[in-house]
Amino acid sequence: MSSFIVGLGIAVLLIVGTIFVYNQSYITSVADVDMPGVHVSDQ
Amino acid sequence: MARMKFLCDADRCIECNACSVACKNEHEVPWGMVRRRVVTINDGQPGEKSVSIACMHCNDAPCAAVCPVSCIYQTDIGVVLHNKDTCIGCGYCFYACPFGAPQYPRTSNFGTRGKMDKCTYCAGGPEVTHSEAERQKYGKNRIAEGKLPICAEMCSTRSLLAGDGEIIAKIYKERVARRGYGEGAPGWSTAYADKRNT
Amino acid sequence: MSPYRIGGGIAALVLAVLLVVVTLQWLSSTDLVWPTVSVRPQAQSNSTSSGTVGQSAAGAASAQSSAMAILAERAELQTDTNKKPPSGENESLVFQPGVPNGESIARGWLQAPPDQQLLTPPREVSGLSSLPYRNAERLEQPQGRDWRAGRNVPLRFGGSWLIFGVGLALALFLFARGRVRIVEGRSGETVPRFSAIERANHWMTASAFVIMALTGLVILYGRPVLLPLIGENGLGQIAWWSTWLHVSAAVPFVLGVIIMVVLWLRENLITRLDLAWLRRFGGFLNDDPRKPSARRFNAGQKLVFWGVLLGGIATLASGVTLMLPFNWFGYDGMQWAQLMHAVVALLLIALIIGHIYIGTVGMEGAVDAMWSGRVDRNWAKEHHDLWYASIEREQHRRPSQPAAPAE
Repeated sequence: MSSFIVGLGIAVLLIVGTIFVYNQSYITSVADVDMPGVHVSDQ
Repeated sequence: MARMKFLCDADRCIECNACSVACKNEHEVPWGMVRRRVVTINDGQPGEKSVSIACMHCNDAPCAAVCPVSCIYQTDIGVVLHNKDTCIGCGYCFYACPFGAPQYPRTSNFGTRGKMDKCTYCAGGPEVTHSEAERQKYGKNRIAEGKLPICAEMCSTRSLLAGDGEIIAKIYKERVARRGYGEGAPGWSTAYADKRNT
Repeated sequence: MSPYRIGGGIAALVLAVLLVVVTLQWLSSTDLVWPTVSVRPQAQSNSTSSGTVGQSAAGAASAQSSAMAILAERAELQTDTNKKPPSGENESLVFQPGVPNGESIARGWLQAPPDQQLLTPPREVSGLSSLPYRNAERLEQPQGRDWRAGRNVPLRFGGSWLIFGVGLALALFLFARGRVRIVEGRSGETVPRFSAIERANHWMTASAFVIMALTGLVILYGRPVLLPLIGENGLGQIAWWSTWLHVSAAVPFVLGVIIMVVLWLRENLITRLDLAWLRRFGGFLNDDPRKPSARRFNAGQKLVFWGVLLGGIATLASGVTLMLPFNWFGYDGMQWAQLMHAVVALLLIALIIGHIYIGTVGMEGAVDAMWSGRVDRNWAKEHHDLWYASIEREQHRRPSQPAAPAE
């Protein structure tokens, strides 16, 4: 039973972590349409 | 029943891109996204033709058919619109669209490509007509004012025609008869004459 | 009749009904888009009640044609006679939800195609565009319509047929055969089968797989199944979350499969024993205690291992292709990547349904292996005799660690 909780927990942590890490760059760069590095904060 | 269409006379288009600029200006399309574009075929060679292309508002629109959240809908005058609030940015409408009309703010789908944007035939979107929300998300609603899309009305050579399909077909055919040549309406077989799902 | 067989029978009935429903829908499906919002002049909309309740088709048709008449006047100004369009804003059209006979309107448009002389054959056309974004130079890609047709009908219906069909087969098996019992009965003593790391890793991979399966099914089936139940806004929310979860869950899944390969590849290599095991269907068909021999993993488990590994590689490759559109492929590649991803994923879902079945309901004593890590001695002797013999030999070399009694 404990192995199930550990496994599920690690999966959830990795999922949340992935979303968090990618969300950082997602929020800050709005228009990366072949123009990397452009950061438009108000659209 | 009558329905709206676009017709670009490839023999008259001079690639001035006024349609592209007019559209971007009228609707304040976000940076990096373009609703209407001009494609030049055989550039620099004999037989060079330019075509202005955007959403063709197809019959049996493939974009609307594949959308996983059914955010794309059609009006009874033929105009295809979509709801940016429910769009998940999956990109499927772009794979289905024969003309590359849908645009997205992001290039990758690591999560989502952002809210899809495309030509609205200057007919706004599901928000209240002429509201600020509609203007910000979808741009100006000219159809609600009884006007036609601005790209066609601004076309410097009248190569891009918009309006009732019968009327613009008639205008084009008269033109072809008068000048003696005309290679047809680009994209019309795919957009308006494909009967495979009836 | 045992409760398992009764349960199997009920499940089989439900699944058979679902399968019939899906088949009927498949046979009568029309993948057609039709208008759902009406455009009409302001004056006309004010005189009718809000919404289109009670509006006749004829009334709607005349409202649409008045809207078109207003716009037609403007369209006529595009002839080459130098007339400037009026800029007055006297006209007003409104958009209202609901089109009384939308489907027949759409069919009408298709039944009256434009003049032949206007039509050029659909073909892939590419040119040049001065605009700096991907695919700007592509004028037409008619194969998008083929992809739409393939995804919306054969893939969708085929997938549900696969899942319900596999479920039905398993339910029928359970009904006819019942649960595969430990013939000698439980011994009351257990032996260790899977370590804590193996188990935790399996559950991490399994949780990630289930999340990806459910979110993926939302994207494929959300529209026909969920939209009527929760409406457009509800589906939009769920689908938005599904998109993010689906892609992030790939991380623990891939990590887990890699660890599984490291831990279990050697014991999953195909041997002669596997053919004999398969021929006798693992000994699952009767209660003869002399089951076919197996080492740590039997042929069925090896099928799951290789299925998940190869299927996982295929879905990973196609999935990454979909996450970075047009990075490596053009339109054709992207469309094929989506189809391949969905097909392999549906096959994997069917495989895992079988795997979950046999590991829980289907076989007595099986779930202990992954849950607590220890299995009943008699279960081990019957289903994995060679493996049991080898760990017994290990035991006798280390008599200080006796087998533990069942918890």
